[in-house]
Amino acid sequence: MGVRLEVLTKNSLNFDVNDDFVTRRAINVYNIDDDTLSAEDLKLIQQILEDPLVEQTSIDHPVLDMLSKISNPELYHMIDVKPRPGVTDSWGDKAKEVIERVIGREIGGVSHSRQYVYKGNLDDEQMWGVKKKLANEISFLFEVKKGSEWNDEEGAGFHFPKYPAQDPHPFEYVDLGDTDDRLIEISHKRMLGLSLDEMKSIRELFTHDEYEKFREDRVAKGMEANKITDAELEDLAQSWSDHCKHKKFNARWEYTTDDQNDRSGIEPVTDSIFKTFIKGSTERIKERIKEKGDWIVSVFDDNAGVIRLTWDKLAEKVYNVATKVETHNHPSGVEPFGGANTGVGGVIRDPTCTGIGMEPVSLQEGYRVGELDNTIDHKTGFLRAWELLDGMIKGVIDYGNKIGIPTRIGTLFYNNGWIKPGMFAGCTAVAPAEINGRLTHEKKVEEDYIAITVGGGVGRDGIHGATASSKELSAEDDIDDLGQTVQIGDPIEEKKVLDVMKILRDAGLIEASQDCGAGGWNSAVGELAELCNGAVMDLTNAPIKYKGLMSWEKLVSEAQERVVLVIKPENYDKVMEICNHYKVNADKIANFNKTGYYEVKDQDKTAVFLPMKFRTQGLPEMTIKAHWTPPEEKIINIISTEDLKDDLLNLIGTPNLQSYHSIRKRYDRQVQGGSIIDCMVGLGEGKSDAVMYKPILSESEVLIECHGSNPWQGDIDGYEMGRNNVVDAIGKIIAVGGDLRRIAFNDNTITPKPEDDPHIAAKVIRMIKGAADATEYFNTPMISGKDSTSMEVHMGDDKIIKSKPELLMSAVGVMPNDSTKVTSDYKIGGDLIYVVGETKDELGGSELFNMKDHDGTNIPTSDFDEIKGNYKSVINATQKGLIHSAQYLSRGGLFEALANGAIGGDLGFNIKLDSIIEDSTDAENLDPLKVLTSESTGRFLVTVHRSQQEAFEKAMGNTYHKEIGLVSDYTNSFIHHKDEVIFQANSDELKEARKGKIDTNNLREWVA
Amino acid sequence: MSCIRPRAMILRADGTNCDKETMFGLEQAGAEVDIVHIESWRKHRDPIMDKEISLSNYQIFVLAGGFSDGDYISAGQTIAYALKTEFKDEIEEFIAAQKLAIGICNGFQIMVKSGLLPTGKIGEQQSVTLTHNQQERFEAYSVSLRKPANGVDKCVWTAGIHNPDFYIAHGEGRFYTDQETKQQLYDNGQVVFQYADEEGNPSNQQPYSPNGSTIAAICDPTGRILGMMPHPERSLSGRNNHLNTLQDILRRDYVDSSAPEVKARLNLINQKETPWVGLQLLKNGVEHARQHLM
Repeated sequence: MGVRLEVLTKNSLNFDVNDDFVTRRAINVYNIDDDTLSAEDLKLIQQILEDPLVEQTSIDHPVLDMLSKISNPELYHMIDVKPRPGVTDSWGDKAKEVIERVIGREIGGVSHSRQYVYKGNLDDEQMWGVKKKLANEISFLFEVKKGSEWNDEEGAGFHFPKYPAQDPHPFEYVDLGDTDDRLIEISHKRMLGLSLDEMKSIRELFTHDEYEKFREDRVAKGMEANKITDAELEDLAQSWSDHCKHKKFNARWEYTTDDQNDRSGIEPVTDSIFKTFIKGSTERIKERIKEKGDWIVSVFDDNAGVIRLTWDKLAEKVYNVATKVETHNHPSGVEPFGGANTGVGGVIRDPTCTGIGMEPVSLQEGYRVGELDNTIDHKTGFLRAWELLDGMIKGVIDYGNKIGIPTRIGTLFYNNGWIKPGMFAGCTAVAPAEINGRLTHEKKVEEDYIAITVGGGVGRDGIHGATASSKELSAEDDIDDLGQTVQIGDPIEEKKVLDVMKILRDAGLIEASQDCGAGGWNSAVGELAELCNGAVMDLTNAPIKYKGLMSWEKLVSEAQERVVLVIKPENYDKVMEICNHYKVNADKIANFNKTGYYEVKDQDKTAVFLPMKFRTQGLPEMTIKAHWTPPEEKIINIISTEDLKDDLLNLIGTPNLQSYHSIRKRYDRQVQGGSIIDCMVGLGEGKSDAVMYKPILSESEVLIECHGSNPWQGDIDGYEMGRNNVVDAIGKIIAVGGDLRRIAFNDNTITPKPEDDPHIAAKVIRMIKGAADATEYFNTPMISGKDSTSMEVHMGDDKIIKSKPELLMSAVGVMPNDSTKVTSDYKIGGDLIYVVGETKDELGGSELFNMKDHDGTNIPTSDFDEIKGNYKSVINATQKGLIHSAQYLSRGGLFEALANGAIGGDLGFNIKLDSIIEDSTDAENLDPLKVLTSESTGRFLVTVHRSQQEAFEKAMGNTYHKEIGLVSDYTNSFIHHKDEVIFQANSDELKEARKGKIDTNNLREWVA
Repeated sequence: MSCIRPRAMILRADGTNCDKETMFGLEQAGAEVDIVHIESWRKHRDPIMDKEISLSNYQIFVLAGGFSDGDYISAGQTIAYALKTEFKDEIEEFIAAQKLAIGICNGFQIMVKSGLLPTGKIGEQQSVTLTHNQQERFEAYSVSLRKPANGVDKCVWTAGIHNPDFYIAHGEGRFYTDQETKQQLYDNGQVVFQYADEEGNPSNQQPYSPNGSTIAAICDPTGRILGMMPHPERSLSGRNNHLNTLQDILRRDYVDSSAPEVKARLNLINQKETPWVGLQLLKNGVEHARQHLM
């Protein structure tokens, strides 16, 4: 037995509520697993755990020592929420650390839980709803007692989570047998996610003549020649998972098309769309821009692509920048807080573990969930959209704010295809290009170099993350199985690791860095071993969270906040001294060699012994068949509208377009001090589609970041969507003052399974080709990317729900300084309003069509030459200082931008539509509603001071531009057409409409 | 004039995350700055710089923003405990030498929990606290501040700074104490900044106050130790201000400042202090150190 301390916020109990919480703040409970604490110790412990001004503490006696005596005790429900065994309990761990410091000796474990009291008559269904408001049962255990069952003396009682501690049992042999069924059974039972072809290829290791020498070497290691170990199976399952190998993008793609005029230019066979389109286009760009100075430093062979930040070639200090966006689905679908939390923690470690290490400067997010009013029956096991969104937002806030990296930008889309939610998490990092003459973007792994693991120990948490994320989610997935793959992050632990990494790097002590993401040590050490051609890892003394782990569990555990660093043997003592100094755990875990084998030992026995070549190249190639049938053309000549004003105001407040300042204001966007253009701009806090910031305060260079993504277009044609996404992102960069000289992309794919459906496959290959064509045209290379291609769910009864095929093009632009910055808010009444770029009847996939449930197919098509002209003219005018405000027209079109400028500037607009309708080559198909909401690409809304009209017109040259009206200095806005006022609204109406219906601070209202 | 720069020590604990920009700001303000990890202070040496670490080598002691030790138990609690036990003597000596200290956000939380504020005495019984925001969530946006009416302008850090806009970012910033202590703080001129509404009146209402309290910053009775929830180090240049592009444009030569539509805009933004006031605040401290402590 130990001690239970309960800390209550004074005056926080309100017994007068009905159907609500009596506890306005949770009671913090500390269970200390130690029975040697004296009264003096407990007094010291109380002092450190409570804030005496606002809290009171009770020791081994419930704070709630009145629940049973209260009238109607059966109305009161005490709910204790505690982490499941093995789930990160940072709060408890920190309490233990500080208690030990206070009383000056080591104590047993400390577990932290939260206690609530709810008042109300609850049936099981309602109780489920109340629990949902508190925590996710995947990670937490609930103990519920009614007031009538409550003992005022005992309370909830002492509780400490215990792990099952079996005898260590490092590994066992598995007989692969000689039938296909046996192979399938093994893969399925062990959740390996390996196909029959892949399993067959593994069996060849033990049967094929080619591997005779391997089997001899294996025997020499004391292993069985003809049987594989469970650890080896897990190793191959992890290193061959789609998550790690991108086997779908690297597959052989066979493409057929029904489109007579297919303009995608896709060949009948493409060997790897990654190598052919993504890498291929980037390599051609790299070749082309060489003469002008190669700013592409390193692409596709590390955790993140690296480009040059510094512009001045003669600069004393030259810096690089790396960026990476991750797509996530699996953990967020079952534990949105933990999934998003570790998603952020994981993506931070990608650019920071590029080369010998970089420093994180910016985060971005993207949430994709079902529509909030879609109430899935919770008995299916799926979480509802509000719950997913609420958890994911909180997960990002928690991690980003605590680790001190600003979450600057993001996007939020709703569609019932995302019942299994999608999540994007991105991170940008910087580093000096050289430290002591050594290039920082290069990893060096040579014979006898040592791998150390820095950060926490491993546990069962996170096991099978790499394989589970490549599996579709199904209603039958057992909670206990999934629980193993879910974890909660500890941002402070990660910050400790990154801080010490920077100190080691700057001291010249690191030769390579690698994050432990999916696949844990196995993938980190395995990938590093490829740079040397062999490694021996020893798990015997590797740090663990608790006993009873098998070798394979230690190997592939995805316990968070760990990195592997490669160091020279002669630096080992110094590195350990520094890590110890900062109280960061560091342990030697592997040595590199050139044997050509990957070996893992545990308890003095060899648990894994596999040829390096087989691990990296033994994976059989997959074939994916794609067949393109263009959608039947559907033209919507006249969009039905009862009230133009209602339609327009509703449009800017749809869930996809409304303002989400309530989310953004909970991200610490100003930490690190470098923000230049925030995601909210102007007196009235308008939106900015792109952000600008200084990644290094002492340098002049700025970065611009934004997203280009149109998943609704993807339903109609992936190829055009791929092109448009690139064009949009570039346009957004230019609108805030960027130019075309140095823009790079991350391509991030979230789609249903292409291998099961040739039509989906066609959309996937077409969107990648479209993006590649566009990036190549604009010389804006893709430098990293990520794909999640299992975005579908089985809802029982053979119903499969598939997500929209999405390709999020996340752009980063580098500018030498911030002198050209422009924001979207209108600046002065009387300024002239221009539209740059031609508007056509291109509403397919638009937000207006989405709002009205129209299925017209006329999606925007981008004419690169024309758009490049628009871009160059706007850049020209911006660099001459002629533009007061600018917005790229994307989702929501012209009206969205007109309203946003007015809201941001606390001003109005007064415009005429006649010229942009009449002068369009598409005039006969356009009407006011269409022209205000079309999503034709490559267009801008800009405002210009009257006195600069001539200069502006000159700067625009032959580019399509139309003056459509004025910024009004009072707050009424008007739209005219054919001498009639067709729209009129004051700024309060615009602002109210923009707020939309969703308040992300109160998502729990959707619990019903 | 002496070219010697005053020296500032920024304490870094695990989870401190505003140390680098605070260092940059203090350097811009003319100080020489070391970021010292609490473990290096504990052991009085840094494994890389390999030099003796002692607070007595510095004139300015800085507790920067962040989530020290994760703020798991309550914000700033664990570092406050370390300061008032392990580092008590060094801090007492530092304060007795009339040196300067500033605590920003998490640093302010540490100061009140260690007794350093409002009394100026480390280890003093805690008499005020900064607790969970009224709306129970983390908030990050810019706020307007004011100095209390009829206040004594005694804080050396904020001399000449009256109505600044600063960024805040915190979940536990609600200033709380008993009525008597609060009155004493006002009477002694120790309330440095209040949150202000659009008319410049003190406010504890959202969005003017992010946390439900009126008080945003206090100092010790000497005015040399300042604790504040807002972040001056985030407003070093005007470039990050959300009105900066508007200000720039209104200043252009082709814009006629006498035109009514321009006047209206200027009126809206001229109520705001010059935007690099964060740097001014740090400069006040560094300048004071240069004049009185060197």
